[in-house]
This record gives sequence, C-alpha cells and structure tokens, in this order.
Amino acid sequence: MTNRETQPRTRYSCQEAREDSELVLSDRAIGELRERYDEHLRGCRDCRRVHRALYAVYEGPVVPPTTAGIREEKQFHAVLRRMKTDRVDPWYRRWAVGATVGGLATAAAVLTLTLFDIAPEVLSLPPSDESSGQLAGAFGGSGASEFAYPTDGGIEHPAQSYGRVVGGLAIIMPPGEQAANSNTFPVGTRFSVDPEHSLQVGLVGKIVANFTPSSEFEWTAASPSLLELQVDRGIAAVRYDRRPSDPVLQIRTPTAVVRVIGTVFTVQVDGNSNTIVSVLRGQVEVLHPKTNRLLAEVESGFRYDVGKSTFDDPGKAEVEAALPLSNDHGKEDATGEEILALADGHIPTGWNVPGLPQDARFRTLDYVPARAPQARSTGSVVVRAPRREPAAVVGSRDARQVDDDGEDLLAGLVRDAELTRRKELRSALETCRGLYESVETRYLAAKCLSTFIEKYGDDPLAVEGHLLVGILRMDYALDYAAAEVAFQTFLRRAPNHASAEVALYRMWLASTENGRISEALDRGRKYLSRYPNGKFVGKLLQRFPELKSAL
Amino acid sequence: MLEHVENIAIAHAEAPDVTATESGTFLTPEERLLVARARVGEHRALRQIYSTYQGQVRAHLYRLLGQDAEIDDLTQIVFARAFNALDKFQGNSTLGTWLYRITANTTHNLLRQRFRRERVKTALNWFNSSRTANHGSTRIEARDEAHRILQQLRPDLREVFVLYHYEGLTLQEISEILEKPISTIGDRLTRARKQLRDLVVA
Repeated sequence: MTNRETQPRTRYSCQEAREDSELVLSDRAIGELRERYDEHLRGCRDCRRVHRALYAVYEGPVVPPTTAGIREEKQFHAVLRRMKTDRVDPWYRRWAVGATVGGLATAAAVLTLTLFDIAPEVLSLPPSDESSGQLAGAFGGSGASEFAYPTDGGIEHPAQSYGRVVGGLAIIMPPGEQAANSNTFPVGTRFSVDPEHSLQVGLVGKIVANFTPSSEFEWTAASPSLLELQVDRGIAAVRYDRRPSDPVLQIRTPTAVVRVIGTVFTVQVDGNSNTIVSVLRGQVEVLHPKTNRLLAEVESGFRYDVGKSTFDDPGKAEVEAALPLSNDHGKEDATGEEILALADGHIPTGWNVPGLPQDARFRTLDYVPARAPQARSTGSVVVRAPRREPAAVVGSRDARQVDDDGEDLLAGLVRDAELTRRKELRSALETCRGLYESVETRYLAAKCLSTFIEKYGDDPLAVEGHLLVGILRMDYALDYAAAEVAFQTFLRRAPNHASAEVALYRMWLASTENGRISEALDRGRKYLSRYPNGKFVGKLLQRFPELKSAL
Repeated sequence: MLEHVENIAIAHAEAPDVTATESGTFLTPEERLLVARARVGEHRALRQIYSTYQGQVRAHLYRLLGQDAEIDDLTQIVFARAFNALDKFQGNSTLGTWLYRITANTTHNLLRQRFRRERVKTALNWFNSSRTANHGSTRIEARDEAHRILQQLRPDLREVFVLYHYEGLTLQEISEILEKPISTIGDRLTRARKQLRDLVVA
C-alpha cells in the first residue's frame, strides 16, 4: 500500500464540488481534484444537474450565422442612413450655430426693414421643394428610390458614371438638351432598341447588358451605392460581377423592382407590362415597385413570373439573351486562381440552366429545353411607360463611323493580310471579322482573335490584333488587366502606328472605368499632349472637364 | 425606448479617450490605411470594415441579449456610431476592441433596463408558480435554461462574463473596453461566476 492510499482523504461534499465546478469547467482543475470531482458527481444526482446547467452556461449560446449577400447589403445601407441621423453636435456648437444664425438673421431683417421699408408678406420664403427637386433631378431624376443615397457624384468619381454602347443599334435619347453624338452616354439616357438588332451596353465599367430587339429602357440612377435601370419592354440580360464595394443594381419595371447584388440574370417586360425574372447565376430579389415589399427571392436556375407569382425554369429565350455576356469567371488555372473564360458560344458551366448537361460539348442553345411559345414572345408589345420625345436620334450604325475603332482595325488587318497573299492568315482573320460584323455574334470575336494572336501574334502584320483583342476583352469581359496588357503590347511593338491614338485612348478609358482615377488623369494628359486635336478629345473632356487646362 | 438608450450611449461612445496617443501600434499599416480611407467617408473602406467586423458585433450582441428582435437594429447603431466616431479612433487598440467598447456602451443601458424588467417578471412568476405548485412540469432545454440564468446576472457582471468566457478576451482587454481598472474587472468576473453558481443551484 502506498502512503497516499493509507492517508485518509478529506471530505469532499456537494459544497466543495460546487466550489470547484468553475475550475473543472474552465479546464483548470488539477488531476486529483478532477478525479474527486468526477467521483462525487457519479454518486450525486443533484450535483450532476448543477454541473450540466453550469456547463451549458459556460459553453454559451450557439450564435446564428452572420448575414451575407442581400441581407448584409441592406444592413450596410441602413448603417449609412443611420450615420447621417446619428451625427450629434456638442451642445455648445449647436447653441453657437443657432445663436449666430439667429443673431445674423435678426440683424439682417432689422437692417432690411429699416433701409427699404419692405412689406412683411414679401419676406415669406418660397417652398424648398424646388431646390430639392433640382438636386434629385441632377442625380438621376427618379427620386423614387428607397434609399437616400449620398450624391457625391458617380461611383467614386463622376468620370465613372457613364455608360458606353458596345455594339448594336438603337435610338439614343440623352437627358435634357445634350446631343447624342458619341457612344458614351450619361445617366438619364433613354434607349429604344432597333426592331431587328440587339444592343449591348457597358455601365460604369462594371456591368454589361444585352437588350433584345425592340426593348425600351432608361438608365435612371448612378451613385456610389445604387445603379438603376428602368426597363419598359423587351428583355434585358445583365451580367454584374460585383465586388463588395460596388453599388447595388436595381432594375425597375412597371410591375416590379429587381434588386441585384451580383449575378447573371434577365428581366423581361412582356406585352402586358408583366415582369418575368430569370436568374442564371447568383440571386436577385424582386420587390413591389411602390411599397418595396419583397415579392420573391429568385435563385439561379429559376424563372419568376411576377404577374402569376409562379416559379419555373429559365428557357431558351432568356439564355439566348444572356449569351453575349458569357465571358465568365469560374474556370481555374493550374495554380487554382479563378480565370476568365472568353465567350465561345457555349453556356458557361457556372450558369444554372435546368435540363442542360454539364458536359461542355452539350452546353449550347440547341440543348436548352424549349419553353412554350407563348412564354417566349416579346414582340408586338404595348408601351405603357410615358415616352419622351427624342432629343437626338443616333443609331450605333452612325456612331460606328466615329466610335467603332474595332471595325476599322479589323478592316485594316484584313487589307494588310490580303496584300501578303498569305491564305492561312487571311482566312483566320475573315472568320473573326465575320463574327465581329454581326452584333449578335460580336461577343465571340474576342475568343477568335485571341486564338489568332496566339498563332500569328509575333507576325508584324498581326500587331493590330493585340489592340482589337484588348478592346473586346475590355468591352465584353470587363477584363481591364488583360486589355491593358494587350494595349501596351501594341504600343510597344508599334509606337508610331496610325492606331496608337486609339490605344492611348483605350488605356485612359480602362483606367477610368476601372476606377483608377489618378492614373486616368495622367493618361488623359498624355493623350491630350500628344493628340491635342485628336478624335477622342471630346470624350476625355466629357468625363474630366478639369483636363481642359492640359490642352 | 431604444432611442433613449442610444442618446445615453452616444455620450459614452463619444467620450474623449484620455489614454490616446498618436502611436497607433495596434493597427497594421493596411488597417491604418483602411481607417484613414474610412474617415474621409470612402464607402469601399466603410464596407470593408463592416464586412470584417459585423460577425463579431452581431455574435457579441447575441451572446449578451440572446435571441432578440433588436439585434439587427443594435448592430446598425454600433456601426453607425463607430463610423461617425472614426475621427476619434487613434489606433490605441485594435478595431475589434474598439468596436467591443462601442457595443458595450450601446448596450449598457438597454441591459440595465431589461434586467430590472426581468427581475420584476421573475418575481411575479415565482409568486404565481408557488401558488399553483407547478414546479418542473415542463422540460426546458439546457441552452434555454443557460440563457435564462445568464439573463438573471446583473448587467455589469454579465458584460464581463460574456467578454471573458464567450469572446475570449483578457482581463486587460476587458478593462480597456469597459474603461474600468483590471482589479474591478477581476472582481466582477469572480462575482459573476459565484452568482451564476448560486443561480444554478437555486
């Protein structure tokens, strides 16, 4: 027998066990103490109950998961709203300001009455609605938005709050008396898409949208927190790869508000002004247009009919409308980094289209299960929204003569290739040119030209290809990094090329749309110093009036 | 009621930090830059702070108050107050600790009011249950019971207990958050544990 076993053990009652419970629960009880505690618990039902209860207290509650996605976004905006109302000035400042204003007002009133002897009724002030209305109008005009977003201009800089026609044909009606003489348009511009062609636009350098023929829509708001489009008819397919700090996108229709955090989706307004929302990637919220009450949360792979309040599968029409936006992230490179896959006519695997196989070979429009014909109709619609008289009518066909650098470049490339009589090079270019010429297939030209560059990139003849690839990657994929590499390659290889001006302009545009404002200003100055009478001067000054001094 | 709490809490949140220095040693260069950007109202920076710390604030509120309809509201108040007070944040603690302090100031009065209300309710329940002799007729889940017990703890003790045992902060950190001497915090923690034990045994 050991000494320890022969020693009489001190009494260990419920009182001691309860005193030691905290040590045991926080894992600070030494071996012997722990043994005696456990031994006591085995023989004492009451202490076991106390231990269990204390254990639950020390363990704490299971915290529900934190908010994410749309809910987090709402919360953050609520915080911003509160920030304004919560600002409390110290009492002395409030008193001082009040006293100063009061004193000055009294002094001014006394002085005015004394000097001019004005009748009292003349002093009554007009209602302030007018000035607040002007402010709202200046910021986008809708004023119907749920939130009072800050109006400090653009996204982070006013130069960013512009959109660009990337391809297609439409009647463009800029706000007020502004002339529609370029492919760049401001907030408040209304579009009437050609009945036979679709229209592709980029907004604030972050969103690409495709509008089907005969669509009617208006860009109504752009602020650091909110972008808003009003769709009155047709199908709007939108891709928005939103970063956490980017604004929320809302699409208003006569019967719904679709709120988007970041996703690929379509909004269709049919002949009865009914709204149908289909989501291919991500999630959107559909709200009541007047009350902002949540009507539905639509996840990828679903189509929601607002009029009928029914869910269904997205059909061929929706996928077809979204296909020009299929330059999609989702693939991974060898290092596991997510990379951008250029559109090649296949439906990206990241898009959720029920009934479509995952095998890339079958992810084409032909394999999308067809919907009932009546559900697809978008033609012969009644326009219910009030129409504005066009301030200017410009088709991008006209604009192309001024703005579509791509077509000129491609024509030049083909011409050069023909001169060399190199059949192979010529036929590769012809294929890309064919794709580029049609608005419906232009989004595929980036992939075609990338392949061309891979094959003939070192050929002196193909130098313009770099510039073209950059333009397309920028316009359709919003891949500014890749676009800049392409522009720089072009400028390095052909610094005195006739199209160097286009490359410099595009470099400036990439910085601006990507939100790198100081870099954009530098590049803008460089462009203006080199081409003071260049064809893009107007566009630079439109976004950065402060650069006038550089001329 | 919440409005009243907010007004009082603002006084706490905006109290000048007497120990503040310009050193900012608790922040990494990236965090310093983030705070500087947030100070001038850059949305991207504010959003980054919100995204990083909203989980911490929300979880802390949940642990303090339990399942509560006002948690969303309180989270917003905490961040609105923090964003408005960014000018006063001098980097003498981590952003997390600073947000704990604002959370503590925001909830302090609310906890006290609720505690008083709860005490009256408990007394009434005890009176009723004694009359009907209905002890232990319902089986309450251990977690609900734990939450009920915690809510009976005095607010100043509960704050310390939650920060120490649930949030895993040190006494030093808690003393900075609640702006009380470490000895007071240690004393409160001991009393909180004893009171909890007594509540469980009872």
